[in-house]
Amino acid sequence: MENLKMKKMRKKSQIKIQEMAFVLLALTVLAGIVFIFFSKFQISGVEKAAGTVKQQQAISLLEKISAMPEIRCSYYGVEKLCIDEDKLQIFLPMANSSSYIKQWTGMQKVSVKRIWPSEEEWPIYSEGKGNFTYSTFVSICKQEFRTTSSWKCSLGMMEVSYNA
Amino acid sequence: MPKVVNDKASGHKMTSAQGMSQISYLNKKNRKAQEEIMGFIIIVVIIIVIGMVFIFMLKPKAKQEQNVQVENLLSAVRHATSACEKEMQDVMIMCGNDESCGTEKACDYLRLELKSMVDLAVEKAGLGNVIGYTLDLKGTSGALLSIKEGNQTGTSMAAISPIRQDLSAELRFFYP
Repeated sequence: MENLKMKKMRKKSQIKIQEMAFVLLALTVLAGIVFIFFSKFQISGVEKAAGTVKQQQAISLLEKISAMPEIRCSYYGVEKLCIDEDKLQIFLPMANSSSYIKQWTGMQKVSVKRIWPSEEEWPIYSEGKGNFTYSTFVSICKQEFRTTSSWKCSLGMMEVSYNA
Repeated sequence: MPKVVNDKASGHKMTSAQGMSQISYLNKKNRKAQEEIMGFIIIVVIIIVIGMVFIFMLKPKAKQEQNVQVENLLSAVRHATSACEKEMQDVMIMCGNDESCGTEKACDYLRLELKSMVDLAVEKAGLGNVIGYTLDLKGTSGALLSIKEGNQTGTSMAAISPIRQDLSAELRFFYP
């Protein structure tokens, strides 16, 4: 009689232990789901921040290049991104010389392209291809006469490639 | 004579009646603990559901951002020289005044050339994830010119540039 009661009690205890185990399992799964959600949000935030940093880095590199007096348009002190086509033609053979090589530190490729109304490319510097390429749009202007109103501009883009 | 049992946990000796009452007490205690655990789980589930509803509610449906690349494109487009030897921004003003650029009406010329410029920019600059764009020339009385291409939904990056006091150009790229 006593033995039977003990057996029943043991069975009940086992069921209770199982119940507890299931509850703990459910809690662990719940905690896992919460953690997955949290980490997903964190990762997407970090990835976005990394992308922004890379983009900012590229923008500052492009601004640095386009601000070089050797290729920058020099009429009325223009503030927009503008490349002087004539200056660029003269600068191209000098771009890889020892006096400018420091200018391209950290960059793998720098080029200027005209995309409208015609297409043309001026590779400024090339040392392979980096793992991150960023481009921005610039005006490529050419002075046809010696008056300020004689600037003819086309739509172009400046591309920089570097190892991020 | 009541039967004496030995409680293994405490080492005390007790009668079977005392043992039974202790078992019933423990059963009640266990049930109470389980009820509390269930209550806790329910609270956790409710908090998670509320949290998820908040996250989905706070998620912006159509984000609008200013973008340097789009700003530079609009600036370069504005200063490009047209077929009638004038800057595009001057042709935009001519469009507002209903004038002609060469043999064509300024607005017709702009519609054709601006579309070609932006299409080329999207193609050449590797803006492959752009699903559509709008380019509007807005006057005080409304849109003078509106170029729409592709799908205009989702996140957008825009640049607005004033041409004249009563005239502005707005370029907007849409991303999935």
